[in-house]
Amino acid sequence: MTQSDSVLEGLSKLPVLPPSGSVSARIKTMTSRRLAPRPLNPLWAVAIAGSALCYLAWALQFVSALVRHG
Amino acid sequence: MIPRGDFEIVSLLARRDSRGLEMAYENYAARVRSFLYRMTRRDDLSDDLLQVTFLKLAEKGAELRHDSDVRAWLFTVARNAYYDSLRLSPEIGLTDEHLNALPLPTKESDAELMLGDLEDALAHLRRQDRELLLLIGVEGLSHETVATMLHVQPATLRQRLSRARARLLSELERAQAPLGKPHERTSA
Repeated sequence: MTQSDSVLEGLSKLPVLPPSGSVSARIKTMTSRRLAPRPLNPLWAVAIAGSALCYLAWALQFVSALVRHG
Repeated sequence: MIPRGDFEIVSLLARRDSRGLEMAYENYAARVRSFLYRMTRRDDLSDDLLQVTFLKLAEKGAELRHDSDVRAWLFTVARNAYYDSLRLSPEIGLTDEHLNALPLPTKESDAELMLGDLEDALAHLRRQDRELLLLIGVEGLSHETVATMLHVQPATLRQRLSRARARLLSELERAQAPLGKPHERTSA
């Protein structure tokens, strides 16, 4: 084994330096918040419901016009 | 070779299941933090960069390919976060003042002395040499993985690694010669 190989082997023995418990707790809380699906913005919900209602109203009007002229 | 646990982590993250994050954290946080600490030599900064890394995983984890190497992905994000932080605050890099303040090894046994010397010698290397030795020597990432991370050809990586080893050896020799003498080195 060469001298530099023994140095690389020594590097693999360097200790692991983990984060403290409080840092881990903070990171876990922040990451799970970030992972959770974002709630739909209320404006989008109103827009979607409004467009569905408009479509239904138009469909109703169309069908009733068909019946009247049929 | 991708660790078997990574497939499970990726599949959990694809479903935005927080267990995927927990597994990734348990498996890799300590190693990533060790890398960041040895790059920055600052507890607060390495904790912040670790947080940035895992927040990125929470954000982008669902987009990972099923055969992704999570460990390599995390080290890549951590490394990028480190270089981003350097761009924002260049003073993060070790200055002569930092280097002189680094404690000299005071461990009793030969093995501990050797590890202390290694830490000391690593801290005095240029960033590029240090990251190579950390990723390959300490973290055990493959040459191919690190070449991809650094966007270099494997042959170039081997040359750079060989130069980094040589510089580490010369730092070690310098550190072991006059123990207790102030450092007379400069960092890149």
